[in-house]
Amino acid sequence: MIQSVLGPVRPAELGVCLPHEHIWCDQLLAPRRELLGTRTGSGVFMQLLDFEAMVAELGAFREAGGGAVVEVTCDGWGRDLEVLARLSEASGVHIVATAGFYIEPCMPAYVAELSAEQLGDRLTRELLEGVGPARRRCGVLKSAIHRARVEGLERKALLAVAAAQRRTGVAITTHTTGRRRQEVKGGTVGVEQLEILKEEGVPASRLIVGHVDERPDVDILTGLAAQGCFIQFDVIGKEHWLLDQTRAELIGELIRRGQLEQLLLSHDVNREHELLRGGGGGYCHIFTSFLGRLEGVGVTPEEIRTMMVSNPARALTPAPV
Amino acid sequence: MRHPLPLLTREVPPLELRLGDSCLLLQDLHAPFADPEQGWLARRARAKVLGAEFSEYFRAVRELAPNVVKLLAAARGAGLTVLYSCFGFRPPVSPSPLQAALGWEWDLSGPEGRFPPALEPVAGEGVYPRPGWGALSEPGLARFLQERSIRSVVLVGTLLDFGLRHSCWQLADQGVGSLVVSDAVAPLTLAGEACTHGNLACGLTKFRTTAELLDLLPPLAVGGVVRI
Repeated sequence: MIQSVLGPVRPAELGVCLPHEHIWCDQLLAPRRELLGTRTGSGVFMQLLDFEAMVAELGAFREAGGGAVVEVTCDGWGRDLEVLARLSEASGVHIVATAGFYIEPCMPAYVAELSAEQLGDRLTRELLEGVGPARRRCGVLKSAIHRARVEGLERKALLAVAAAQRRTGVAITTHTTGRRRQEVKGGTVGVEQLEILKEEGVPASRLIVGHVDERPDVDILTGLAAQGCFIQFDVIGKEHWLLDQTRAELIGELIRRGQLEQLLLSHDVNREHELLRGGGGGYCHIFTSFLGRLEGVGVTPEEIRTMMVSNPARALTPAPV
Repeated sequence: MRHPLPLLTREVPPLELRLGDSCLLLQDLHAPFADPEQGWLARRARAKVLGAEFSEYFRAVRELAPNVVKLLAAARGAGLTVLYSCFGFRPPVSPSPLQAALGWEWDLSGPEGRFPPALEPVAGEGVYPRPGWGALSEPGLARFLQERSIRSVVLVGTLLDFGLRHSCWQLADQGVGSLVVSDAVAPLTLAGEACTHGNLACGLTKFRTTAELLDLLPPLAVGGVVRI
């Protein structure tokens, strides 16, 4: 069963799923925000805090055919499972919450204080016993790296996530380098994350390599997929990094290379201007714009269904432990 | 702003900072650029009723100053070489062709050569007037870097999308690594900043924030190497 904030969901009932989105977050809460830089001009921090607006955005997603969203905000910058539960009830969209840690600037202070083992225990409790008075459970783990290599607190957090994964079987979704992607061989630190996770006993099939469409190398992505990782194109619509047409062509090529079963699609909505009410595509951009591009490069409706329904359900269903 | 070239270039290589072969370069933090009230650019923009056009720039200048102060203190405390590069001339040298073409003929022996008090050089820190956009257009500074075998330069100052960008390119031409402190530099515009990040991401330059660099610098003081 897939764990949503309202309880278990059968994989067959998940529906069309966006596996990497934010619905409720506030990066201004980040404990070490200064690490992101103190300039204000270009620093529009990630922030979504309007309950009624988010109900409307999720409602539009549901109306367009959507069924579920993985909310990847972590403890440290506004994760709130009670709010997510109310949003899920109000919108009718399944929401899967995240246990784990975002990049170092956004990590809670306790990450520095506790050992990797203690952090792993904490994450395991969030997955198996729940969070807060209502004991709402998370359904996925997250590791985030914003440095050019896996080191320091982010490495410790990755080891904690690996420990929790071994005990629970849930998937690990990842943030891979972000602004440092130009310093990473192959464009994604997911390669290094995978090596460390394998050493820690986590199978490649439990790793979702995120943000692959910020600096994609089709050969690197093919190699990761061939090892069993999920390859997540999750900033679809953010064309300041890469044209959607390029994303569609990369996905078409990965399908031709036999990796359809490993592909996931999402937007990583996290700011007001990306919402429908802000003039963006909200959680519907894939429906309204991107699917047409996929079809234009020869991707079939059945293949789209595999990427948006079957693959997320398989990714989010915990493996036996 | 989309910038596809880095999709086809190698990753920016690792960079090492150590006392013997690294330096902090403050570029164009003298009055014409760095005084948002009485500096040449500010005065000129006001006189031409163009202040709003430069609002992004002067906001960035105001925000960078405290970060540069912290970095200066950390660098001096660690014993890192500190250098200044300033667009302008000092007699008997005449304005350069570029300075004449721009109409920015700043005599650095006068008021245009002053620094905000918190950013002034201290004894022993070289101040290099220069004729072109890039720091190495001044042969004295280029020679200094070569003679000291400088391998890594940390850059702060203005204008990110003009002078600093040229300096990074020139350093790369010489095989010298560069690191730009992203919240201790001022671009002319935010669009220019985005474009410059793309330009410099092509295997050339690393970007780190002030807080990140301050976390990294302490080992330098005890002779350590910082690998970035």
